[in-house]
Amino acid sequence: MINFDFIERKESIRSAAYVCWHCDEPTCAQVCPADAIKKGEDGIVHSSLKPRCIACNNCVLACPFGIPKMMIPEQQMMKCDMCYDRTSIGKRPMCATVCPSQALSYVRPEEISSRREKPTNIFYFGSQKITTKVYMMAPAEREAIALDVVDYMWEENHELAATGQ
Amino acid sequence: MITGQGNGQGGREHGQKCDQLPGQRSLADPAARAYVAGVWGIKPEELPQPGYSAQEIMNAIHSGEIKGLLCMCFNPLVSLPDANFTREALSKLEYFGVVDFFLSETAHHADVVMAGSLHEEEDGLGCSAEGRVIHWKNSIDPPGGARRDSDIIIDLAHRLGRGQFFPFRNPADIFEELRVASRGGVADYYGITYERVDQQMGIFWPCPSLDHPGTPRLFVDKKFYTHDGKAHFNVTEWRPSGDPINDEYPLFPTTGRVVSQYLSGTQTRRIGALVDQSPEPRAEIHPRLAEQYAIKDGDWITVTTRRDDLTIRAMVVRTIRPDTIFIPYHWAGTRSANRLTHRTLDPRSKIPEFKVSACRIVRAKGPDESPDDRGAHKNGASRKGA
Repeated sequence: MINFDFIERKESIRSAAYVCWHCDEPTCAQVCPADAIKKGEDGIVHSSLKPRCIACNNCVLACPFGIPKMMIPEQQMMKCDMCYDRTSIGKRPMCATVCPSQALSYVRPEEISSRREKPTNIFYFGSQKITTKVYMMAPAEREAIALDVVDYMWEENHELAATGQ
Repeated sequence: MITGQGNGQGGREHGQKCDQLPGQRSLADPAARAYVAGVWGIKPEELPQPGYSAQEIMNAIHSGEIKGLLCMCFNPLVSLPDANFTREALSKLEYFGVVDFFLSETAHHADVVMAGSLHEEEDGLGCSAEGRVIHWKNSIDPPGGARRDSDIIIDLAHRLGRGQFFPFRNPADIFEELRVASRGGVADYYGITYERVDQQMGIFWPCPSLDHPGTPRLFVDKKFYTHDGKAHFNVTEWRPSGDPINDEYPLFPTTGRVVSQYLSGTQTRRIGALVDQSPEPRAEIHPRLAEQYAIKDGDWITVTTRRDDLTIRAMVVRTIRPDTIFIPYHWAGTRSANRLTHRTLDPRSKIPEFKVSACRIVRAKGPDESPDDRGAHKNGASRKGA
């Protein structure tokens, strides 16, 4: 399952496709009341276990990257599982296999080193530090990606921003 | 330029064009006619002379010159310009047969409909945009009474008394004849076989013999297909559109595609997930233009050209020129962009001017409630039978 978005369609046709970031300490698993989300020894975080998932949506709300999807007819959370059926036998996930520009790629570190951007797997959401199995390509000088949700909450309140509150 | 269909390249190499013979040969060339007629077991005089391109066929039907049409996996009511003209033409046909995988808008006008196959249901070789001959393997059989397109053509040939020239049991047999017929032509497939294609992940033409590896890139030897062997830059004289803007029609409508719909939508308007992504055509309008007409994102607007009008929802984005409206053409009836377009053709390629036209816009109260099969423009043209 892939998450596809236009970054800002009114301004640009730029798009971004995201897979699950397969966090080292997955927030989704931590908030699941039914212990339905498991991470394997290979670091892959799986979709919820069908017998356990109660479709409470905790994981959907908690994931900082917005990845888990609640499949209503199945009453189950599902998300990218790194095409486990393929990667477990040495194939690349489907997304990286078909991506014609290799915006999504599944390669060894030495194969990516020729690019101008550098891979990073360190994210800050407010004060929460998250490290992931999947890397994001970022400008070389940027060691980590930092996002603060408060920045977006206060976007509309021009007055408050002006008075410096 | 990226071609729009999976086998668009292959189709225009071996005679899906009205002026062509296999191997990218010209139907008007006596030497080509002699060779191919010999392969097919007929006399050169039995071959027709070059015929009409797609829009020219529709024009000839409208004028009464062409009275019968066999149409294969083509939906001109949606994909040709000036949809009202196309509808009038189709209703004039004395015989109209359609082979298609679903009942398209065009097929509704047919006297006889033959249920054909999707590419997943047919096996054969085709050519990709890079000149690589590849193998489309069928993964499923046509359901119910639907049949493979190749079987339908072979059957029709027998019924027309020409069965002896179509002794094919399957597409592989057909290809055996095609590779010989293309031999010596520009698009030479003679050295290509199913086995070689499967082993080598496709073979690039020209491939003149069975031990030739194929030609991944043309003109590496810098010898071009020109009289002096050099590449020529051709100057194109600009000329204005056949439907120019003026005070009454001051804006440029242009048509094109969206990612989640394909061509005339006969397949993709039947797939829920794709329809969810693009449920309706949206007219892309620049915010500066939208402001002039008090149009907000999502408002219904009516776009009017000299031929007809179209009422769809606006999508206000900066990714379009302020003097231009972009409309995707995958929908039919009251949502068909080609109601607006005109039949001016490029003089060489005969491609219609889908990309340039003249229109005016206005904010509308709501969607167009007319029946989908309504006749010509409200401005006085009489309504022909649908």
